[in-house]
This record gives sequence, structure tokens and C-alpha cells, in this order.
Amino acid sequence: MTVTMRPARAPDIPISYGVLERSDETHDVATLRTYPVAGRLPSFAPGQFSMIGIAGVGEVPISISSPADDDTAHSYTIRAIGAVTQRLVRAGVGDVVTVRGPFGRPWDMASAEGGDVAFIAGGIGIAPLRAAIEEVVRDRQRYGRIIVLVGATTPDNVVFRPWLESLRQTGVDVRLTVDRPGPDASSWFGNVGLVTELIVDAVGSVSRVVQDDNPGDEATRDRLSAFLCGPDAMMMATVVELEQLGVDPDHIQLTLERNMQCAIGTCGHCQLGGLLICRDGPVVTATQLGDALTTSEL
Amino acid sequence: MPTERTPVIIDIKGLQVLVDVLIEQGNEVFGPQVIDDVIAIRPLTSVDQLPAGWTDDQGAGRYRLHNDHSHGRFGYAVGPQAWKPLLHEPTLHTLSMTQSHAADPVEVHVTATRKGRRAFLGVRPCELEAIVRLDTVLLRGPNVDRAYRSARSDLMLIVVNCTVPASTCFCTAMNTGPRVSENVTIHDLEITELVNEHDGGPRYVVTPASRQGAEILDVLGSRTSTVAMTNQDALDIEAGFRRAESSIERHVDTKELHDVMIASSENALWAELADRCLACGNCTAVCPTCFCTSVNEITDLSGTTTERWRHWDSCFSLEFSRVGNAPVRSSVASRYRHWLTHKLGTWHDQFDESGCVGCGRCITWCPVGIDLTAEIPALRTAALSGGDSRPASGDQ
Amino acid sequence: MRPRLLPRPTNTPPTLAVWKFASCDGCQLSLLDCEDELIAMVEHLSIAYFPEASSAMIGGPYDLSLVEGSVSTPHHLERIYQIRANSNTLVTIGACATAGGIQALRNGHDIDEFMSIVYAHPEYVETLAAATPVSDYVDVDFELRGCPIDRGQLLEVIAAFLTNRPPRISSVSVCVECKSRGLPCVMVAGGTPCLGPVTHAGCGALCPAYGRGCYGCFGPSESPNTDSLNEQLADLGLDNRQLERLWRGFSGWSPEFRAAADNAHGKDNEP
Repeated sequence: MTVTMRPARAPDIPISYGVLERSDETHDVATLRTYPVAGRLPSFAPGQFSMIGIAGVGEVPISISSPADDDTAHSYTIRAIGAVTQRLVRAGVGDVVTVRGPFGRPWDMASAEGGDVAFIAGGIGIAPLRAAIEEVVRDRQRYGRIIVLVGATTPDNVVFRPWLESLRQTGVDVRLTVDRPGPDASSWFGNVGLVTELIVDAVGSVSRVVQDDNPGDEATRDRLSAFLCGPDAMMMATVVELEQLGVDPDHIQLTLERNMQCAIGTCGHCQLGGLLICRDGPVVTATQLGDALTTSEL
Repeated sequence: MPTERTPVIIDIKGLQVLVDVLIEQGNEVFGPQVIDDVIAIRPLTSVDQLPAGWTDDQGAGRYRLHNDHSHGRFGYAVGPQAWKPLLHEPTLHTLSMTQSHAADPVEVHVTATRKGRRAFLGVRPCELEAIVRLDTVLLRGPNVDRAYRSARSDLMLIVVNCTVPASTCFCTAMNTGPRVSENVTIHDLEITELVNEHDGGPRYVVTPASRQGAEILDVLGSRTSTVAMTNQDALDIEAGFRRAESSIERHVDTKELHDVMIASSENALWAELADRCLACGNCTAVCPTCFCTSVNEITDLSGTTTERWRHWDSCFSLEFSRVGNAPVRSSVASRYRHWLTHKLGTWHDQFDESGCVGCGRCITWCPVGIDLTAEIPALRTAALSGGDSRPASGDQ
Repeated sequence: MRPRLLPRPTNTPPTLAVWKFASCDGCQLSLLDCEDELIAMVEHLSIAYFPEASSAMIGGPYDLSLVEGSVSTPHHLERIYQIRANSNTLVTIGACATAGGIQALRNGHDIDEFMSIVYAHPEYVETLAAATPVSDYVDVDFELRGCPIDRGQLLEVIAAFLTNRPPRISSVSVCVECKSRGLPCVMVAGGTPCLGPVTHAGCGALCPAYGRGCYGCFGPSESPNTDSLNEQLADLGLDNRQLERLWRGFSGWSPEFRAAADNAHGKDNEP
């Protein structure tokens, strides 16, 4: 027996959002801007995710990449990997997708106030950071230097490149690096190598300067907050690098992806050691994470 | 609790009156019965359906019933399944979605959850503890599982203490039996079966554990003859529990067990276990606390209508840990490690209690008889000696 | 294997062809058994070639080809290459097409001797030495297991093709379906030999529901530990000859079950 319900707020019941605009970011990444068609998601905080899907195909967890102060529409930047994401990336304007959310613990922006902030992304990992970066840029008087480090496989795979360029214009220290500049290497003026190789130069100098200003002051160790998103290996290497520079692991935040399915902590799929990622994450601190990412197949 | 916990004693006729009263009050009563050579939970209307004289002979990968013609109706330990299938159904239709064209809003029809009063007669203390664990996960988190909430409401839980543990039981180690703990408060009645083979039928010591339980007991008192417990009865009960406790053969040292499990992630034992483990998922299906589920969407041929089904899933399946296009836990060693570490270690981190209630089902119903109680000492030894550095997984 | 169904042309109803190789026709009958859904199916699919059901035969190319049966004769070999070349999406259905089937029992034996015993005039028979799965010769987009296949799973594969998504066919063990139905384990509770723990789900635990052990019709599950099961079955009292026969069934030519059977056979031949 079934009854018809139209509750907008039940976290396990999908509601309809329409595709207002879609933009191709790379050959396999697109951003969908979606607006409420029937029902509306509660407001969200940067770092939270939705379960977005196509009825009959399935749902996937995707972070909301648009600014949190804009509730009229939500943006999702999606890479075509599996059945659902392939369909989402191909969705046309006007198509209706299903969403549930927002879920999970957001970036802790308040803890970063008063200090320098570094956002370090690998590949499409810049998307879950975007709403946080927008917030920091908007409230930039509350923060010190703002650093954005982005690594990608090739120049073509750098997501949000025009936006990153515009950030640079506003004084944000934006640095890009690629694994391979590609056949047309002469058109790439950024770095070549891993994103971790940018950290010492960009972040390390900040750390040193602050520490030199206040020698012996424990508080200076807290002056840099880092926000990380990317492949597990990239984030682990970044954490190691940051900790070597003296950044407090409590002030290193990462957003994790596991197999989020119910997104409300009851299906068991997204466990990573003692963490239920949909409930305790997706954003966790390096302290909370411990060695969970260095243990293989955890 | 406002009611005094004064026990009364009834005979088998009185137990039938209890069942009758429960049914009259609108409950569907479920209880243990012999079905297909096992003791299974089924709807019950008569005490004649109870497994009179039956007991279970359990070992690693082995279960047999035999009838010793004793007078007891509850002279067995635990059946192949606890009450989980009635509370957290193996397959559940959750909703359907209709969308004729890609540009149409998706119309969602949410499936109504079950309604109606139920009474579970014969819940073992370890099984009651398992319901406490499921309550924590599915009712006490930031979000509530609506189907489980419906299944748990209007439910009367009648515990029958365990007097004949099986050789696979280790409830004493997990502090979950054989007698119901005073710390558990979710049940309504506590019953202990007293069997004296020399003086006729079994007698049941019934103690109220909730207001509803006390009310039922009041009605019972008006409908059948009840007698008060004598000192000798009390001594017999205590002796029975001591016998039960001392008959428990398996043991798990729970001292710092969480830390032992966490420290064991690189132990070579996991690879050895993977040589034996079939990754078939039986242990998770019979575990009374394993709660994991997946959602499957079934579409019609046009793709217009989608039926969303939720079904039990197992961390032993490859698909379970899929991220993108690859599973996180591809080796069986890592899947076994995940399961056991979750039960005994990380469950504490996630839900502040143990995920294991010591019922022994994972030992009995493992087709190849893997016995966690036999493996934990090696993990403990290695953890205390600084761990085994051999990799846990890799070439599986 | 990774489900891989190709996009279909959207302007015309896609065409369906159903092909038979060395098989008993049981899997094709599962398609005819869809009854209620058949009406819906012809609304979404144009049945272009299905001799078992219709004498009308339309030429290729075909959008979806369902192939039943193993490749068993030189003629089969010719046909399967033609069918692959003429099909956008090719799905093999059943144990014969996906694992060789029961006729693969002949594989590795003296085929001429078999023919001389079975046929009065073996010189008229053209056959290959082995009956093998279709995927041994051509690319297969999806393999649907079973002997016979499950009707619901076939509908899922067709629905997935029509809606352009991968089929959702779980490759976990039969035990998962058995426990989901609340069936007691025939092996643990009855000592009955059962291949369920290493066999691909899909049948709904049909045999255990009738107190029988699983025969492995759906072939190996995703993580089949046949060595460990062999040991347990030996503990239940099966000798090596019985073990070998248990594995050499409907999916006995699948690499995993073949290895398990060879393993048991080899033990028998040990000094």
C-alpha cells in the first residue's frame, strides 16, 4: 500500500530540482546549476553534500559548490565516472534531477578566522572547496592571507580555471600545477609537478613569517588553517607536508568520500575506521582522521 | 518504573493465558518453533507450538536439533535468526518514483510502514541486547529509520532467560546473558523457565519490567492462578543461572578489546582468515546487530516508474565499499578485518557500545566454521607485543 | 565483469534479436515466460529476429542481441562472428553461453571416442573439440548467468538497455538470497553439500528452499573461495570423486569451478 506524500524535509525522500544551467568544465566534468521544482532543500553550509540522482539510475553524493548564501539555486560539479555521474554530466537544461540533503558536517570556517587560510585541491577537489573559498573571500577582513593551491593531471583538467583567474585578480595567492603540461606545453605558464610541491613555498613561508613575528608563541602554530580536498593519497601527502611545517592537525580539515548511500548514518556503507563519513564527515580534521587513510583498504 | 518488580509463577496453562491475553489485546504474537529442523521465530497462538523438549547442539559450522523429552519449552539456546528480520526487514519497498519525461518533476510515493501491535515471546537476553544496539543505530542517531521506528513501536518484548546455552555462546564475556541485565530497560516482561523433571510440567517465573508488562501481569492474575515465588524457587533460579554460566565454553577477553582491534589492522591473521573465509555474507546475515543495507532501484521497461527497494547488505560483498568505479576493500582479508574490527572495535567509536552480543551465530552459521573467539587471542598477543608487521592485505 | 551497454539510437525503437547456439532453449523460454511484460516489451523493442517466437525475420544490424548457448560447432564459430558484427549490444544469456554449459563436460576429453559411442555415423557430425562460452570468441557487453536465467534479471537487463544504464545484477553469493528468505542453511543444519557460498546469486536460493544444496547453476560468485569450500565439503564426508562431480555441473567449465574440480581430481590421483 502506498500513500502520496510531498514532504520537503524528510532526508530519505528525494525531491525534484531542475537543471537551470549546465557548463562543461573539462572533457568529463560539468557543473549543473539546479533550482527547486517541487519542494526545496534546507539551507546548507559550505562542505555539505547532497545525494543527487536520476530517477531509476541512482544517486551519488556530490558537494554543493555554489555559495551558501544563495539558496535560490545550487551548483554541483560532477565528474563522469559511474552510471549515475555519466548521466548527470550529460543532463540537459530543463531536465529534472532528484536531490536529498544537505548532509554531513561542513567546513569549520570559524576556527580559521584570524589566521591565514590555505585551500589545497587535487583535480575536481576544488569543487567542494569553492563555497568555502567564496565565503572567505567575501569576509576577507576576518582572515590573513588566502592561498589556493590546485593540482590537476593536465591543463585541460583544471576545473573552474576562469574563476581561479578571477580570484587571483582579487589578491588571492592562486597557484596551479599539473602532472603533464601536455603537447602544447608552451601555453602552460603554471607549475609542473604534484600539488604538495607547492606547499613549502606558498604555505611554509607564511608559517615562518608568523612564527618569526612571535617566536616561541604556541599560538602561532594555529595561525594557518588548511582545507583539503582531493584523492586520498594527495590529501595524506598534503597532511604530512603541512604537519612538517608545524601546522596543527586540528586546523587541517579534509573532506572525504566513501560509499555514501543513505547519507543519514543508517546504511553502514561509508565507514572509514571509526568514522561514519556521512555523519562524522565528510569534513574531518587530520586529528580525527588519524592514520585511517594510510591503512590500506580500510 | 512505577510498578514493583514482584515476580509471579505460572504454569504452562498460565503461559497460554498470557498468549491469549496478548492476542486479545490486539497483538500478533511471535515465538520460537521448530521449522525445517531449526528453531525459528514464527507467529504463535498456542504454547503447543513452542519447541517442547527440543535443544540445539551447536558448533563451528554445525547446528543440529534433538529432542531430549524434557518438559521445558525453552530448553534451547538461540535459533539461526534473532528478531532482526521482523524489525529490520531483509527486503523492504521504500518508495516509488514516477517521471514520464526528463523535464517532468519526479512524483514520489512513499510506502507506508507497517502498523499494528506485536508481542515477541521468547526474546533471549543476548537478543534483547541486540535490539538495544539496533535502537542506537536506527533510532538514536541524528536521523531515524522510519521503517524501524514503526516496527519498534507498539511492540511488547517478553524476555525468556537462557538456561541452556549452546557451545557457541559467549554472552558472559560480552556481559549480555544468560540472564537479562538490570541495565536493559526496553523489555516488558522477564520470564525464567523452571523445569523439574520429577514434578510435572514447567513453571514460569514472570517479572514485570515495564508499566505495560505490569498491566499484562495484572490481567494474567485475574485470569489464571498465579503463585508467589518461594525461597526454594529463588534458590533454584540462581542455581540454574550458575549452571548456565558455568556451561559456557567460549570466552572473549574484552579488556581493552577496542584498542586491540584498532592496533591489529596490519596483522597477518587477516590474510590467513581470508584463506578460509568464503566472503559469502552468512555471518552478517545471522548477526543480530548487523544493520547494513543497500538500495536497489527497479525500473519498468520505459524507465518511467522506479521502485526503490532496500535490502540487507554485507560488508563482505565487493560492491559494498565501492567508491567511483572501484571497491575500497577489494581483498577478502580487508573485508574480514572490517567486519570484525567494526563489531568489536569501531562500533564503540561510532555508537559507544559493542557491536557484538556474544550470541555465537556467526560461529555456528559460518559454512566453514570460522570462530572469532579462537582468533581474538592471537590478535591480542600480537597487539600487546607491538603488532605483526606483515601486511594484512594486498595480493588477495 | 563490468556492465557495458552502449547507447541506442533514440529516434526508432531498438531492434531485438535472439540467437540460439548449443543449448536447450530454456533461457529463450524465460524470455517468452515474461508474459505480462512481453506486451510492454514489444512497445519498446522491435523484435526483429526470434525464431523461437516468431517466423517474421528482419535483417540486421540489431541494437540488442541476446545469445543463448555455447559455441560448439564450426558453424557456430562462423555465426557468432557475424552476429557480433551485426549487433550494437550483445548480451549472452544462461550457463551455456556464459560458461559453456553442461555440454562442456566433453571438454578436455577424446571427442572422437565420444562421437563413435553416441552416433551411428559420426562422419556426418561436425563439432569442435570443446563447447565454450561466447566470450571466448567475441566481445560480450554483458553476461547474464543462470541455468536457466532468471526472468526478473532478464527484464532488468532489457530495462537497463532501454534506459541506457548498466544492469543491476548482484554478484554476491546465493547465501545472501537464502538468508534474505529466512531459509535455514542446508549445510550447517543438515550437513547437505551446497555450492551456495561460492555461487553467484540470482536464482533466489531455489534449491535450498526445497532442502537441496546449491548446484552452482549461476556460476562463481564475485569472490569464490573454492579451496576452502572443498575442504569443508570433504569434512562433511564427500570423497574427491564426489567433490569433482559436484563442481563439474552446469557451470563446471567456468575457470573457478573448473579449478576446484581439477583440484579435487588431482587429489584423487595423488599417490
